[in-house]
Formats: sequence, C-alpha cells, structure tokens
Amino acid sequence: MISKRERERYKRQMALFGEEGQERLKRSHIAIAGAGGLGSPVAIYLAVAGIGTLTIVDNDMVEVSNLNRQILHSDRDIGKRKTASAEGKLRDLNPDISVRVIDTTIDATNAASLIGSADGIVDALDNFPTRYVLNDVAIMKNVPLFHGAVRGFYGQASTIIPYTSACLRCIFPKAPPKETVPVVGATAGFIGMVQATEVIKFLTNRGELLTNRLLIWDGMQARAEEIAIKRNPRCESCGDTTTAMRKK
Amino acid sequence: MRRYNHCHEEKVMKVKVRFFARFKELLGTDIVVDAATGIALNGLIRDIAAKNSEGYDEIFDENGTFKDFVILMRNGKRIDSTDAPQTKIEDGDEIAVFPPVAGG
Amino acid sequence: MIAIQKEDVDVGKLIDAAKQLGTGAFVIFDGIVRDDDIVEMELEAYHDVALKELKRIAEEAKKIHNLLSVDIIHRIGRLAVGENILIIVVGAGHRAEAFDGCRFIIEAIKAGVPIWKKELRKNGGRWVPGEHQHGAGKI
Repeated sequence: MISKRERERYKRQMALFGEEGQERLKRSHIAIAGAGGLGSPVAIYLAVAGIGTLTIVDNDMVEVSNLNRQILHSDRDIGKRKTASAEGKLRDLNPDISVRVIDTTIDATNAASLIGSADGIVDALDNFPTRYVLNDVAIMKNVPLFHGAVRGFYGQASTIIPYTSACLRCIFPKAPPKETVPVVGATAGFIGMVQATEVIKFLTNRGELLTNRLLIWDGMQARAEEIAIKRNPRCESCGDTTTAMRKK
Repeated sequence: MRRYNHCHEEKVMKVKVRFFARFKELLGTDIVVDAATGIALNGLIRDIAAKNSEGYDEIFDENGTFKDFVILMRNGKRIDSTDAPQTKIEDGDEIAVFPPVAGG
Repeated sequence: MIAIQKEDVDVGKLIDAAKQLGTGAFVIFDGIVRDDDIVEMELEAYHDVALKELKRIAEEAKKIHNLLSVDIIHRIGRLAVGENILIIVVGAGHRAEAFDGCRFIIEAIKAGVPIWKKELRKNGGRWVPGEHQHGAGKI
C-alpha cells in the first residue's frame, strides 16, 4: 500500500510505472556491496526512489581522500565507519525506507548470509576477487547482480541474470591485476546511475536490461559503447556442468 | 459433497485450475478437481501436473518447487510462488498457473 | 472502450467517438503482427483478470496523466501478419500528457496483463517469452 505521503513523494516517477511499480520498489530489498565511490550514488538514488529495504555492506573508515567521490560522506564523517555515515545520510534522504548496514569484509564464508534474501545485489566493490564471490552468491541465490566498475574517466556496467545472461565470470574469466585506480567522482556517479537505473527497471519490470551487454563509458570522449557478451556454457561459475553438479 | 466420518465431517472441495500458453498445451485447462481439505496450492498443482512429465518439468524444478518464472493466481489475485506451500486451497477456488505474460 | 475481443476495430471511429470538450490531442498506439518470418499469430488471454487489469491501467493513466479519454482494445485469436493486435487511443488536453499517458499504458500492459502470443511458423510454433522472465513468480 502506498500512503498519501508516499504518493506525493513519488508522484513524478509513478507517472512512469504507476502504483503497481512503486509498490514493487517498496516491497524490494537490495543489497549494496560497498559504500564508496559507486556505492554512494547508487545508494542515494535507490533510497530516494523508495526501495523498501537497502542493506549496505562496507568494511572501511571514512578518510579525506575518499571525499572527491564518495558523496555519501563529508568532512565531519572523517574517522567514522562508512556504514555509520551511510546509514545516517540515507535515513535523512528517505525516512520512509529501511536502511540496514553491516560493517564487515565480504568473503566466500559470509557472503551468502550477508546478502540474505535480497532481491538483487549491487556490485559497488573495488576489487575483482570479491566481485567473483558476489557473482557466485547471485548465481546460488538466483538473484540479479548489477555490476559496475570505474577507472579514471572510464567505467563499465552490466546486468547479470543468473542462468539467463552471461555472468561475471563469463564476461571476465580472469581478474584484472589489482591496483589503486585514479577516479573522478563524476565517473563513479555515471556508472552508479546506470546500475541504479538497472535496479529500478528490473524491479518495476520495465524497459530492456543491460544483460549480455557490457556498457563501456569513455568520459574523456563522452562516448558510450557496447560489447555483446554471451553466456559461456563451460563457465566456471554458471556453466552447464556446474549447474548439473549442483543438481546432484 | 459431504461425507460423515465418525466424529467430524470431511468436506471435499471443488477447485478449478486454469493453465495458459505453453502450460495449457501440455496440461490442458479448466480442470475441475475434487481436492482434499487442507491441501496447499503447490501440492494441488503438482498432483495435476504429474499427469504429464513434460508439463511437470516446465513448471517445477527437481525439488518439486515452482520454477522462479511461474506466475500463480488464486481467484484473480497474485500469489508469490514462494508462498504457495503455505497457501491453503478453499472450496470454489479458481487457480491460474502461467508463464510470464507477453501481451501488447 | 476497454475490450479484449477477436474482432478488429476502426481506429478512426474510436477517435471520433472520443472527441470531447477540452480535447487537444490524441495519441494512438497500434501494435501489429510483424512480418518476422511467421505465418500467423495466436493470442490467448486470462480474460476476466486481463480485462480487469486493462481497466485498472486505464483509470490510473487517466488520473496520473490527466487524460480525457482512454480506449484499449486487445485482440485475441488467430491474427495474420499486418493485423492489429493492440490499439490504444489516448485523448488529452495537450500533447505531452497524451504521449506520456499512451506510453504509460503500453508499458503497463507489457509488464503485467495476462495475455500470451504464439508465433506460428511453417514448421511449428513458439510462444513469445515475456520480457522479464526471471523471478516473475515472485511478487
């Protein structure tokens, strides 16, 4: 049920997907892995869109060098846990939703329980090993994974629907080398917006998802390109033999 | 129809099940069944779908759970497929089972 | 007029019937059977529920987009290539509302009205998959 206050709040977007769409958002639970460069804009826009429950997971403390891009945090949050800072801001942005935060490092032993019964997972991470863990959890739980990554003025995004579209490992069989990347806040903002839009489209059943497509954004040239990708039947994570083994 | 069984009455319920699209091709539609009191939605459909293994495989996975794209309705209202095991059928119910819609 | 029926409609007549005081624009959506290497298309509906949903969508569209009139006719049965499948006629005071309202209605129909299409080819048929399959069973 959408209250009168919510109706007024979400009026402009209900013009697109109606009460039924808004109710779907309200009933949904999205887990966001990371409250940093990507996590900040994604969380902000999903909060104001009225996603009923957001679970934010991060293991870090706010530092001054975060502030060029991690717009959920500001100077007065330096030294605070990112989860604590995020919780406060998101609640201010939308008191009508539920915000849960978990201050921990995601790994293969805890990922499934951290994600819980979320309807979708947003990849707002900064490293590939953990991304692969999330990918495996998404496949196991059969929920979408909204992938995003940035570097400098460049970014990429894709939406993964387990067993239907290519998964992260189909797209990237091997992790790129780990490094501390330069980032302009706006790039993270751009990719975060693509991910947030994908989440909303998925939940309201509207539009065409970024499945089997890797969106490549070149901010320097202001060009967006697409690479077509296919599910790999022998994928380590979602391939036919893997699923066959799981069925046994 | 009522049967009296010692101290309590046992009611048999009449329920109509409708399938659509591919499910209808394999399992038929407008199936009126006599269902035992207390049966849940998933059990009711499993019993009917069991009559055609291809139809069964379209709707249920290897654990006998509804596949995640299967849409369920009871008297015109959506039932979340995860709630099906807890949804008790009542006399006169119309249950609909169908794949994702493709109108327009 | 909100209907699910076998018969085709005359779009011109619908427009004429819908004109009223204040109407400044009509936007029409006409979905037709595309020539995708198919012979015919077969459409099937969960009639009562689909009709109720079309009416609900029309009312909501009217309210949100301030429309003056909404007609939705969704055909069922066997249709040949080129035939009308779905006609939406939206009347409003101004074109912005008419465009937005019409879009709202077609997207809502695609998202949730229980109607299905089967493409019939020379060597068999195929049910058109719903646009958003994954997790469709969850509410």
